[in-house]
Amino acid sequence: MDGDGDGQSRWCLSQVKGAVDDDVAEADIISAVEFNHSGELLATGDRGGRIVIFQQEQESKNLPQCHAEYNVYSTFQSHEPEFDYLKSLEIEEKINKIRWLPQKNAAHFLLSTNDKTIKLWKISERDKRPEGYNLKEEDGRYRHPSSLTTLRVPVFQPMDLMVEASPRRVYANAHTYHINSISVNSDNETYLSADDLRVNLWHLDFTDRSFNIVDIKPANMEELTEVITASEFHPLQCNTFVYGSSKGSVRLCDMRASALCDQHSKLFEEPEDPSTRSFFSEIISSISDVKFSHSGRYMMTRDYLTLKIWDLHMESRPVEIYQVHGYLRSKLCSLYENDCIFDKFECCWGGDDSEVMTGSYNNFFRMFDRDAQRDATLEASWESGSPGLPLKTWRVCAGSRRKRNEIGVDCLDFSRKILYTSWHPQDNIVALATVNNLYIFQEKLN
Amino acid sequence: MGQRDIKAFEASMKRKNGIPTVSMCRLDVESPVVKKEVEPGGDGSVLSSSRYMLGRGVKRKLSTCEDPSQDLPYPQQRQLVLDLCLDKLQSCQRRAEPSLHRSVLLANTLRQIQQEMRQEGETCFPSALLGPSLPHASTPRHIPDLPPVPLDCPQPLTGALSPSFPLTTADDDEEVQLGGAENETLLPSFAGEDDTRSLDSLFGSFEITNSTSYLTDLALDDIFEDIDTSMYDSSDISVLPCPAQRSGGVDDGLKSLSSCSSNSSLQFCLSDLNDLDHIMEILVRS
Repeated sequence: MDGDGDGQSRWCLSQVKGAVDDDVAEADIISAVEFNHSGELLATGDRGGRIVIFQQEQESKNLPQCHAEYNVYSTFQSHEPEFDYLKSLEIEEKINKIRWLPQKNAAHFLLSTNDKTIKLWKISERDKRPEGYNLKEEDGRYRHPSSLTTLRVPVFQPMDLMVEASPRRVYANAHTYHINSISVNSDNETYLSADDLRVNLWHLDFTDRSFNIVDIKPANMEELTEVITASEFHPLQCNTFVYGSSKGSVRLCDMRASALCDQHSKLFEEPEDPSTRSFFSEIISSISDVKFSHSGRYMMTRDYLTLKIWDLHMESRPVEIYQVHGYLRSKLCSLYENDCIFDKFECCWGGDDSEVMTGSYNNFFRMFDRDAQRDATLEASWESGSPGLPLKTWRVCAGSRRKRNEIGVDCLDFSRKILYTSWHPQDNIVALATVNNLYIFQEKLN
Repeated sequence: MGQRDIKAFEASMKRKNGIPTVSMCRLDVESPVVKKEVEPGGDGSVLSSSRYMLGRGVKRKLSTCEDPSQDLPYPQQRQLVLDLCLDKLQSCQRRAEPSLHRSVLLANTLRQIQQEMRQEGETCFPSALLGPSLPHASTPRHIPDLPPVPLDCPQPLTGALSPSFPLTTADDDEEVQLGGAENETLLPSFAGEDDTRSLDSLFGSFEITNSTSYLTDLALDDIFEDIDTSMYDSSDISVLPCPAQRSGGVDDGLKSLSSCSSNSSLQFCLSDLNDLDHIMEILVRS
């Protein structure tokens, strides 16, 4: 390894999860990644409807060299495929989103959703069991009455830790179109779910009713030109939420204003730059993700080529714009042809809001330091890992030039993309999913 | 990291003897990658299981020069995009997982291109297109043959997008008429009264109906009890009217209906299918 001071980031590979095989079953492809509110748990969802939860090892958490290892904590089948008989269409079991509820007691709760149904899962530990029943054997069979000579009361004995996941609520049949977002409210009682045309508000305790708060379905479907692509509650104000659209605009709504929030309170839209207008302008402006900052002051939107940071007080234009992979601007027609232009990338904020990150192609991901106004391109590759060794940064250049840590745009692999990312709420640990694997990176501490 | 050759990167993903490859496992099996000791590939039998049957996506390389469409003159670029758009809209309907988001974006792109072409009129059509287009076929030259049902998607689609556009205008009839004909070959026909419904049905087809609850909530015995099926042998089960895009699903549908009925499996003959059709239509509409 060259001792090149430039081109080194402070991030290093911590762990990789998943098969090393090139042949990955469709069902194993990860489709959701989410840390919980403490960062101790990391949940992933896949196309097969399963959820795997990893837990940070407690012992190593406090070691100076490393933040921690994440090991499997629980695995369960969240959603099953369903069949819509009237349309002869299968409803996919693929997990679209996972959102954790803030922890209130020993158990953990998360919401997971596929295209149609949202479920509330309780994940709890059991490390004791009652033993010494008076009337029953240990295996549950009843003892013969004649063998009972004394009275005994069962006591709790320690047992091997068992983690159980049980579905506590199933919120079904409220969405006619595919669900793309769920977001837990700061009041910890309600949450929203959004599909292509509607946003619904639920109370966590009630599965038989949900309240429609946004409906952009036109009276005549042939007039449909815009769909909802992402939605989120404000982290602090329980009456405020935003939703992004396929036309590149984000609307902020206040639920106090009216019951049906079709009229937005704020509209965040950047006027189009006429010099960059092309056939694909609208497609690349479609918002693929919207995330509030932890402070609640800012909001970040991801469209195909850029990340934009908006100040909630200013609707006219974003305060910061970051080019994720501007070199693709001249390739839009090819990307349209191979459908990559429709890829929906997520984005996330660092714990203190000073950094943001998002994924790209070729298993690259992009880190933006807002304060220092620096950015880095890093690669999620299992070859780049030696413990403690910082990742090298990459540059993408024109043509097919290939040098050390430089790659030509024509050599990028568009089948390797990082769509799903999550950042630990406090520490600088990021988890991201390539098509095959889950990668965990952490900041080099010393 | 040394010089990186992307092709070698792919090859090295496969296990090689002697190279201390890091071992990974299925998500639900533990093996952190940063351990120094080499873990042999064979221990995780999960890895070699038959689960991993599907090939991963083949690396798609862009052409070695700039996007080829950049070199084309603008009208041909536009035509290329238009063709792609129509192809994609067609395949949208055939997909296993139709996406309303994608369809709306495609429809908007199509509309934008059409508007542009309309505004420019016939003057920018390359002369090469005049030859084959003049014997004006019913299927426009650039549109691949469409499946007859469920939707003649591109053809009526564009009509719906421009329902009010007059095919011929008052000024300069001859030219515009020629242009109109060309319009029809390059783009699907504008005319059509039922066009306005087609976008509706295109976008409407994305609705996930609550059909499962429909079927389980209804007392199926009551609905079907007036159908006399006693004449028909249990071996004469014929095809149900619902489109069998997935045969497994139809079987499931049959099974669930059977399980709801009192005793024997439901049997239908062709004349009763019409009754069933009618009933299903009522159910769906209500």
